[in-house]
Formats: sequence, structure tokens, C-alpha cells
Amino acid sequence: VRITRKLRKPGAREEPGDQLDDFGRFSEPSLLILISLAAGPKHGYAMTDDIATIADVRLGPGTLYGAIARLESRGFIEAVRSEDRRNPYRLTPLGQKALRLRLATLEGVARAGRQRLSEA
Amino acid sequence: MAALTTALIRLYPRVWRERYGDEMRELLAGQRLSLRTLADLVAGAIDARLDPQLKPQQCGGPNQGAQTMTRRFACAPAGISAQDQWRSAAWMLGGSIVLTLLGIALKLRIGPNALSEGLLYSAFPAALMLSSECTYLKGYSRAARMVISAGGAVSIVLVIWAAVAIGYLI
Repeated sequence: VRITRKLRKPGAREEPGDQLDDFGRFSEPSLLILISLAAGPKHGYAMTDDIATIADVRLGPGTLYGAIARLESRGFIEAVRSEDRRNPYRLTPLGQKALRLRLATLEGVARAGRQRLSEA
Repeated sequence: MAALTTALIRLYPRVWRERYGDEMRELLAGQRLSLRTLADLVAGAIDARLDPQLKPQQCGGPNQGAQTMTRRFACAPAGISAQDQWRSAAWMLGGSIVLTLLGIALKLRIGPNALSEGLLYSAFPAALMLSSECTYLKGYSRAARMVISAGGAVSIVLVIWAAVAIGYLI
């Protein structure tokens, strides 16, 4: 999924979705977390279950919280105040924008790939 | 099981544990601690120690692309207070003065030598390393801070001393 920046024209303004490229091995887990939170606030355990359902991958706690910390520090997600020890997180408007841009890029790449396959 | 979970979470920096420790403990309580989970936690702890993430409120707003590094330097891993900055400045200034005076005293006592010259050259970089104890290393335990900052400062002095000594020989 680290393709957004490479596709952007030189000199073009960096978009929030591009920052996921800086997350290294946490890029893909971060995208999955954003997708999971797009359906509403969730705590870590619920996110892990949801991601396992939608992407057939179970994130380990170290990976999950490494990605959460990165997303939270960039303002893509935020903790929701809760009495529970399990803090739920929700998507921020900036996180929604980043997710939209990233998904649009991925759709464009997938479309180009499908088109080339059909032409081959 | 709970003891192992606590031990694994202790691998993370203190600031990280304070922020995510309870949540991680809750998450781990609900699942089997497999070898894969263990490896994932250790890898996560190494990552958290090498690259502790900052909360936006500690840095005055969400990070924006190229500004990320600037923000990181501006506020450092654990939210540095004004008192920490004064302590850091005191380490930097005091360390530089002490090492410089030590170098001068040594030179006056035993004449020109590689160690005194090395101390004069390394005074500021070594003091800078010592000053990181209360800024960039703040998220680490007291023992780790001491070992990294003092160890780093001693290493700087030794390397420069060795460089000067080699310079004398050639």
C-alpha cells in the first residue's frame, strides 16, 4: 500500500493519506485500523476482531498499538473518553480525509491493473 | 500468565506504558499468548523504544507531512517541561565547563598529552550527550537514561582521546 507518494506528481502538495507511507511496516495495519474505525468507534479488541473479519488478518497487540500510536500522533484518530479501561478510538475528520484519499489511490491503481490485464 | 503479560509490557517505555499499558493488558487478557504474539510484542517494544510516538496535544496540533521531524525536535518524546529544558541547559553548560577545566588542569599538571587535548575537544559533544538525559531520553527508565547518556559521553571522550593519540603517533 506504500504507493501514494510515488504516484504523486513531483512538487504536488502532500496529502494526509501520504503520511501513511511514513509508517513503514505499520502502513498496512494503519490503513486497516482506519477502515475499521470508519464504521464507528472501537476499542483495541473490537478493532482486532473487525480487521480479522474484513481482511482475514489478525493484528498482534504490538503491531496494533504501534499503528494506533502513529495514527493518534498524526491526529487521524482520537481516544474517546470512557470509564472502561479499554479506551475506544474514533476517526477524526483528518483521518476520514486520509482514508478517502488512500482508498481513491488504491482504486485507481487496481483499475489500471485490471485494465492492463484485460488488454494483455 | 498475568506476570508474563506484565513483564512483556514492561519492555515498553514508561510513557508508552502509561498511555497504552492498560489497554494492551486488557487485549492480552482476552487472547492466548502464542509465540507469534510474543514476537509481535517484543518487536513492538523495540519499535516503541526507537521511535516513541507523540500525542498531538503534546506538540500543539496534528503533524503535517514535512513538519513531523520539526515537531519531534520541538517537543521531544515525553513532553519536555521548561524545568527539563533548564536541566538540559545546565548539563550542557556545566558539563562543558567541567570537562574543559579538567583538560586544562591535566595539561598544566603533566604537560601536553592526548587525554587533556581529547577532553578539550570532546567537552561540548560529551556535555550535549549528558544533557539528553532529561530531554530526548526522558521516556526511558532512570537507569537506562544514565547508562545511555553517561555511556555516550564517556564513549565520545574515549573516541576523541584515541583520535588525538593516533594523531600524536603519525
